[in-house]
Amino acid sequence: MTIDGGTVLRSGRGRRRQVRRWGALAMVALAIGIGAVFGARLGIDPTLVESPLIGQQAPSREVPYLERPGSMSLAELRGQVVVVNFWASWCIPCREEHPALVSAAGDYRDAGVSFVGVNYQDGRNSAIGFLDELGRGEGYRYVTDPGSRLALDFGVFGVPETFVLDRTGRIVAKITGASNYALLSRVLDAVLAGQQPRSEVIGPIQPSPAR
Amino acid sequence: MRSRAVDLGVAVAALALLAVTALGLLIGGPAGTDRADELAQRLRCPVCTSVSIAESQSDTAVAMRQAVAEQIDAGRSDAEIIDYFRARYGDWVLIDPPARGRTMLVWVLPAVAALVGFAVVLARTRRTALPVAELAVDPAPAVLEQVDQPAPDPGHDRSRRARVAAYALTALAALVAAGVLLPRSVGERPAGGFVTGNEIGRPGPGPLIRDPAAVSDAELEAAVAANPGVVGMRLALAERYLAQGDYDRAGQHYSEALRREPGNPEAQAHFGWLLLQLGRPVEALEWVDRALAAPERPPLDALWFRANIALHGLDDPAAALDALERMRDRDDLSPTVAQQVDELAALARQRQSGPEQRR
Repeated sequence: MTIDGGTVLRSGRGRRRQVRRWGALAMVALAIGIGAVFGARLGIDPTLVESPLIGQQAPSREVPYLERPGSMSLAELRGQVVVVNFWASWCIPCREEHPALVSAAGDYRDAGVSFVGVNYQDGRNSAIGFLDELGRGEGYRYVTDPGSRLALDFGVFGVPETFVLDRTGRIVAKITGASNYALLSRVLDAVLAGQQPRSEVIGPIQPSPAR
Repeated sequence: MRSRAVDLGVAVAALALLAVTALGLLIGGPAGTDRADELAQRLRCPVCTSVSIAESQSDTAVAMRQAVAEQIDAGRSDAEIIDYFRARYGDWVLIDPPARGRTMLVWVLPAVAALVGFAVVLARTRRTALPVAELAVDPAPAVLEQVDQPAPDPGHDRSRRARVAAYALTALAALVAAGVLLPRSVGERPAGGFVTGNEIGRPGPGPLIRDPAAVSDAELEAAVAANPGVVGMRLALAERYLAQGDYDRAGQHYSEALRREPGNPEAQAHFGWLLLQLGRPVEALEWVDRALAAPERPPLDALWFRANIALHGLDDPAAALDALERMRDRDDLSPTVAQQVDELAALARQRQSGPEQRR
């Protein structure tokens, strides 16, 4: 015991008391330290993960259209800014963000922005019912994703998740949760101006219909 | 002697159990040769809670298992397949956190804790064992110790000071934690938020539109000045002035609103109401009647104003009752307004019969 310093001889009981005291002190310090570590993370949502795809080339998998025959690939849209939105008819936040996507699709059409809505783990009829009820955007491409393959390519955790691709087909931003018009236009303005927008976490996503 | 036998027994039993486990693991060999399943066990399901895709039946897990199977068929190595998912979901997708960077701690800390625990136990057993042995050999040191104990100890003061300093430091740390860190962490949590800060189910950022009642008159005045064409906002401001009895300002805004939208029934009706307050019931009735003549359904306010003008301004209870009757027929009448209508109608009937009685 170095803390005993110059003590030459000490009774066993005294030393034990000393050890116990320092032990208690160490426990308190440890508890406070652990509390501080956990406390510092209180404001962080552990379920939200940064996408490692930002800055990467977007996947070019062929996916069939939802309402007409034929298929498309995101590679065809190179040269345009592309908004890829994953949605489902069972997803409540998707309902909330739908009007913003539809109006942004109309407003940014002339600026060279294409919108692609990828229907995620959904029935075809309920997806079409959703669009019949809430409307379709001008020039908005609605596609399905058999086997969730495109969703896996994009590292989708749940819906809605929205990715923005620049004119070279690189993924430049991700919006997690229900987006809104103000945010969409801010991100799109930045991408159109050739700037790097910030990815945003707006709110909850819904991983599956059961939730 | 008996306790030593017990100790020995415990040690042997522990060792035997350890040996069985180790042997089992060694003889058992690698668990299963199914590569797809083995890889699936290592990947975390993105839509579940801390479950591998091998254990989950969710659509996403099924799709991921299929992707794993396809890539195995395509002849890709385990590392390549794992990297495919890591490139899309990040290190998050690995069930076992990688033994590098920050997640290294997860692997190192338990080992460190075990070592420290072992060291402490070892030190303790040594310390308790030693004096007994010394006593057995030579009782003198123990006696010496007892003699020495009350003697003044030069190190005593220093250790005491160190102890006080340690207590003070701990108290300070506790104060900082309780007074600074805790309120900050707790304060940022929205009402009804989760302790973990995991705000699933939280609505997005607050509404951009403020509660209209919280906007001050001056702010509204500035907003109206900035948007002179928005008549609805101007009328809301004028109504505030009217309620406050500031008839000058209310009049200015109603005139401006009527200049911009001469046929606006709400503006016409309220302007009539303002004229009644100013003691000009005849003109007031003209304005309210203009509002009621509008092709669309007249505002309820206009009828209410007409009844009041007729009763209080022109002393014409019959006309008032007529207007109140029209209000009663409306389907958009709230219970409170209906009650007010009934009260005014009662008053009107009383006035109607009043003069007759006098006669």
